[in-house]
Amino acid sequence: MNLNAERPVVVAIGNSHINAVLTASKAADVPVQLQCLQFLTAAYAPYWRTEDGVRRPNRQYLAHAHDLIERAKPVAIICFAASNLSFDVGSVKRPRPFDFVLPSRQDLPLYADEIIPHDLMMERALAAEREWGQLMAPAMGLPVWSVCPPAPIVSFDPFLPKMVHQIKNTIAVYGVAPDTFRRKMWLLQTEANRRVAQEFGAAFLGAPPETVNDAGLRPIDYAHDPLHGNTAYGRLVLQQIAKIIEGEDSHAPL
Amino acid sequence: MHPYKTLPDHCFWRQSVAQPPFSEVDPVVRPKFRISRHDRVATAGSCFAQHIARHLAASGFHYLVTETPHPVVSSCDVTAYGYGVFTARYGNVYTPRQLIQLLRRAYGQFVPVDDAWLRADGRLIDPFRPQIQPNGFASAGEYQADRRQHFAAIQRAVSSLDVFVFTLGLTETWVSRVDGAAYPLCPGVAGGQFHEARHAFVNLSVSEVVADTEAAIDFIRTVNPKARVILTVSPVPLVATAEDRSVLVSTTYSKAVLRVAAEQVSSGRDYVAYFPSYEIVTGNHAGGRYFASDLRSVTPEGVAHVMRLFMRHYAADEGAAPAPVDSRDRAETEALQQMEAGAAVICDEVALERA
Repeated sequence: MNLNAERPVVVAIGNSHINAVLTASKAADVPVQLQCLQFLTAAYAPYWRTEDGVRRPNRQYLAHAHDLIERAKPVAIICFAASNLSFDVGSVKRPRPFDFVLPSRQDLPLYADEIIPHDLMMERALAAEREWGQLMAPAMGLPVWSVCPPAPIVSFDPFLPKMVHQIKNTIAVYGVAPDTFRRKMWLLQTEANRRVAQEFGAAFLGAPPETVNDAGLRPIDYAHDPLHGNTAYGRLVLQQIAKIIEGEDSHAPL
Repeated sequence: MHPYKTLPDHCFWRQSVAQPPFSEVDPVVRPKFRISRHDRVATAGSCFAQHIARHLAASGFHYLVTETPHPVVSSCDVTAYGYGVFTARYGNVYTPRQLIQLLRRAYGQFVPVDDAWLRADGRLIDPFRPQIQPNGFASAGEYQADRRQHFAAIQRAVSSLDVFVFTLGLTETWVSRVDGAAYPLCPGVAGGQFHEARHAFVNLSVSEVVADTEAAIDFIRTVNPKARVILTVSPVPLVATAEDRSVLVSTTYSKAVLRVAAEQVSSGRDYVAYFPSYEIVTGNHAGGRYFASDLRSVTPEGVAHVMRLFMRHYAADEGAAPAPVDSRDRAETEALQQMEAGAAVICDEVALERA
């Protein structure tokens, strides 16, 4: 049952990227009501099982997702099912520097002599995104949007003092990767995320345009940390979704 | 008394071929040189050369690979992209003409007119390694950058190898009528389009195979004078012939030419050896048992026989060399693990904030 008939209910499923919309949804003027099912902790317990070395959502996840969808009667599901690939691989200069050519952005310069075939990079990205894409399984006939991961942060500097030591140390040793490389890694992951969404019958929701500057990076104003969007970011995502639900965004798939 | 009276057993069919168990037949008499575990061994050639490459890599030799997959994609099927199949990602090199042209191209001495084949979907195929990527190259930018990198990898291989094992595969080939560029596959088979006016069939003669093989060896030794070469002939029959005759007849011609050429090139050169993998697999002792049911593919037992004798005669009796490790790859793995662990902590923190 909808809690508020004037504000459509949307169920959000996914990992830590949910937090941006969750915190944003608490504001009274947000146009949708949000109910969440979040995968918590590094091991994303308790919702994964590993079978033949492959992680899959377990029965408990499927049961919880079905219960929530039954109870909330949402008009749609939004899924935060992106991996951390572009952050993990793209943030620092590689000890064995490499680059790749994005077919859609051949104008972006190469920063290393070693070239990895784009198709091979895409295979890697698809494997990472497909694991999380399984979260979209309990769609129950509802429209599902897969939400694009936030763009790479414009600068690590504001976050470095409080950064976890693993990342701080790695950045200290190798340095932050060139902006174009970080952008490329994100564009690659974004494309993989879009393809996986398609495989699961979901629509792809791109990053809010305000959150990506001309260099393809995310201004600090939309950053909770180098990886996650903040409340302002989440607010823009919810507005995107509300517009689509209301039919104002004719370009968005529903 | 006559000369045969004092000949050793290997000169007699009964003692060396008919009598021993078929899996013990050993036609290698004396290797010209030995390969130490520290010698860098590079390979190229036809399909059968892939078997040799795999076994060399697994046998404790220092198998030279100058075009390795980056650790970031090591979880993917990198073999499908030609990584590790041979020393560099050149795919099958069926003829010595292909080999000498590959070397010249890598050093900028030959630039074929046929640059790339554009598919209808915008993807590009390399005419000289048309199956190196399952779906071709995604863009012109990638194609050019990848080829630069590939040529650099070939140059590193040529300058650093100690032993080059080349398996002669075919005499039949297709070439460009414009500049003679030799294709590994007939245009149109795995990309491109066949045009009678632009493409010609060539069936190499003994003298042509000798000339091309000698040119390739001379090229390598000009760059790297210490290089030694082992020639083998692939026992795998032709899958098809472009001659208007039986493929069986064409196979016999092709293998005979390659075998004679290998003999001529290796004779009189102490740095070029012939290893009889062809004889080991196809010889009467095997009675066809080293061919699979398609009568073409060599069985694992056949490959094992070849490699057993290769090791027996060419491997210097030393301990195994430590496997070469690219220190950057270790750092890559560690850096990635650190970033993954750090990101996991950040994700946890975000989740805890919510709680």
